[in-house]
Amino acid sequence: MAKKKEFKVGLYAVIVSIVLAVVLGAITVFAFRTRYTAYSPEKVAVQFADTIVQTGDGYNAYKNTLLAQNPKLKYGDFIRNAYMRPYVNEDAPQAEFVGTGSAEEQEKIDTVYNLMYEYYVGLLEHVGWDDYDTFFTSYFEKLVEVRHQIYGDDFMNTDYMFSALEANAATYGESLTGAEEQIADDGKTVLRKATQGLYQQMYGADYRLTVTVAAKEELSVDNAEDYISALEERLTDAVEKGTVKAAGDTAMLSAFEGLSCAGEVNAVELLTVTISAGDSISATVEIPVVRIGNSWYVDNTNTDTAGLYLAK
Amino acid sequence: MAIHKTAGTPVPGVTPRKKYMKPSEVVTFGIGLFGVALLTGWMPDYTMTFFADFAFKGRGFDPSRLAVAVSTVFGVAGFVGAICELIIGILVDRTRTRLGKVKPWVGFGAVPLAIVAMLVFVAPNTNSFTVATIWMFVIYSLYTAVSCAVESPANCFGALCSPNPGERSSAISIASFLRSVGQSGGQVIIIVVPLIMKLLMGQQQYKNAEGQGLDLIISTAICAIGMVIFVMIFFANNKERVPYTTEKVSLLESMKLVFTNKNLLMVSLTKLFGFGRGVYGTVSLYIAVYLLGSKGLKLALMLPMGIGTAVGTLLVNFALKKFSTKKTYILFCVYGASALTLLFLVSKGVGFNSHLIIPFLILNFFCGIQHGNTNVTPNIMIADCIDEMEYKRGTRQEGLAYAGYGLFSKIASALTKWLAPTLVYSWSGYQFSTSQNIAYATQTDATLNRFLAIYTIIPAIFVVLQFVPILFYDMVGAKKEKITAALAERRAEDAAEAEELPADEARSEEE
Repeated sequence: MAKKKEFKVGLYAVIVSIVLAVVLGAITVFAFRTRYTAYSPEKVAVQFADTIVQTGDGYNAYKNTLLAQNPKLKYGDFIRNAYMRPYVNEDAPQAEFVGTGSAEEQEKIDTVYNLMYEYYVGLLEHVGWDDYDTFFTSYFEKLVEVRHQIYGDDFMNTDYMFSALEANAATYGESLTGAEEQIADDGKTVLRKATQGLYQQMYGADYRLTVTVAAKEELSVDNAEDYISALEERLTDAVEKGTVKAAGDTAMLSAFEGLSCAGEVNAVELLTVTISAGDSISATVEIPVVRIGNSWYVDNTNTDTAGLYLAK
Repeated sequence: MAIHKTAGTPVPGVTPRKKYMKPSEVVTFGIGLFGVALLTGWMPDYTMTFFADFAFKGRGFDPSRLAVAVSTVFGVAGFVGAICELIIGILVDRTRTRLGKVKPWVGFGAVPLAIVAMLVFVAPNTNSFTVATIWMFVIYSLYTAVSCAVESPANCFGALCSPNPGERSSAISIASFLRSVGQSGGQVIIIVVPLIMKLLMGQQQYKNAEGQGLDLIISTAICAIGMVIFVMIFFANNKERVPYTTEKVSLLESMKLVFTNKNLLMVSLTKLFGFGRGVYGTVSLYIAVYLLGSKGLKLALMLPMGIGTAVGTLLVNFALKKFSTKKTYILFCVYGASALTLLFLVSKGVGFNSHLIIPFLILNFFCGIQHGNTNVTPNIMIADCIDEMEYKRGTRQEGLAYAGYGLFSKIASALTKWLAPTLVYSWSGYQFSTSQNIAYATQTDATLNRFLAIYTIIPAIFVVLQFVPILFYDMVGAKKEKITAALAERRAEDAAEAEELPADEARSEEE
């Protein structure tokens, strides 16, 4: 009778460890490639356009652009250093009601946000997020003025500036998408009535906006070189403008200098995205994307996003 | 169901002082438990945030429906876990292989565990809420079942590693220590992975990747590979040496025993009455995000509490020398509720901002002290209840008693798993991030204050409720002394009879 083969535990352990390391590695790479957008020019362009199309949020769309390529600085830190610093005044005393959580404080916050919202919409209409430099500068300058007017103090910090800007961006998004009814904890009191958004008026209650890549052109080496030279000029202008603003402020200067990245661009593609509402195409926009390292970024210095703001 | 006889159970024909395990085996046993805990120690809380905050971002799902779905998934998974533990216990009993009873479950179970754990973080690309909900139910229940099939047998390997009770005890102590290290080790990986990602991808690209939960996927892959390697080292090097003696225990019998013994019922009810004290664990991740700035810093938040628990264990032992188990239990519960209330009041006073970090961490240490009580005192009370039952009925039924208490404990754990996400995602008014590039949305002050309430005052209420059944517990004082003395006397008589019996037998043989 043939002797039963003995189960070799050690061999099993080695094989299982190696095979599973390969399988788990493969699953990780698959998950990364499917979810992470920056490795795909199409995904980056779609995400950039979709952020603007769905909620009119040009502010957060910049996270997919060259403004976010500086490896040492998050987009938020770039705004903090490049645009907020001149207005920060944390040594100034704050109005007495600040931090009390009182109804008065809430009312003042609401007043500031409402006044700033009108200003935000105005900026969106007349300046647009493509000129982020003017947008940020004008917005924060106005915020200081409005806070002083409503609070009666000169205090300002970056948290307050972000809160106001993000609240306004969110409110603008709700003006497009509509907002759901909000009920208080008692289950009865209506804190906020349901509102209909502009998109619902334009495209119907169950509207669906989709962004897809319709065409893609990879620039030849020569054309890419020309593109990169032009990009370098645009970025140099932005840095020079920033340097003047910085007036010797090291952090501010460094934030603007970080925009210079043309030398690291190793590929350029021109993508055409279409925005469809149901079956009909609402807009077509060209979005240039550039590759730095392995990641793709929208070249915000050469993009006209007007077509993506469908409600304007 | 099987009750595993652990350290202290004498095995016939075994020399108690002989060492059976190679030194390397003691270490690799610990390495095995370290490996399992490396993955399973952090998975539940981080899976919850993955399902709620990352898996279906940008799909347009109604946040309130998603909140309910996540709460239900975890509640159901809690019950799946409880049932699985019972089933796995029975299956382990019936396992007969050359490798032993427990080892095959650990060695072969590690493979599906690693793969299923990984798949938990690979959400389907769907816009259908129904598909998403079904996927969450299936994948997390599957994970719960598979992790139970590996973790439970791994934890009871200590009972089988050596017939020498002393050697077994030290092996279990070392392995338990390494298991605790493993639980924190997984969280260290969750801190280290983002640091490496930031270095390789840049700050904003990391934020974008974090917004899609990719740091969790990589951390899981590392922990899963680590788990497999460590478990395989254990699998290759360790042996089962004790014949796996089991005591057949019926679930119905164990329930009957609990309900016919007032004191055991009261101890078991503490679990049910206090089921909500564990909700702090879930919200701690969000407190780490919004107070400390990163979900990876949950470890930093929980570290003072962990140290407090260790100190609490020492203090409980000290208190038990001075007071009865009942007084000690109540004392620590009152202390725990007070510490949590103080933390709540301080947090309210300071506000949810960076100034809160230091007082929060300090008070967190003091809040941890109460956990020493819940880890130690109920076990002593159960042992006392078993004495009481032996005194009344003449038989000692550890298996049934622990099984009954264990079932209450598992039901309570399932309820905690349902309550925690319900509070965090629905009651607090939590806002889900809808932007692909933003991991966690900004929350209102009201939501942040409710997070603090979930961490402090809500568990405090359950801590108070927890000691209510103990008010009716009476296996203390004169009664306990009387029973202990009577049992000691009875055992002495039994021992004397056992000594006389062989002498009588020898005499009759001579005659």
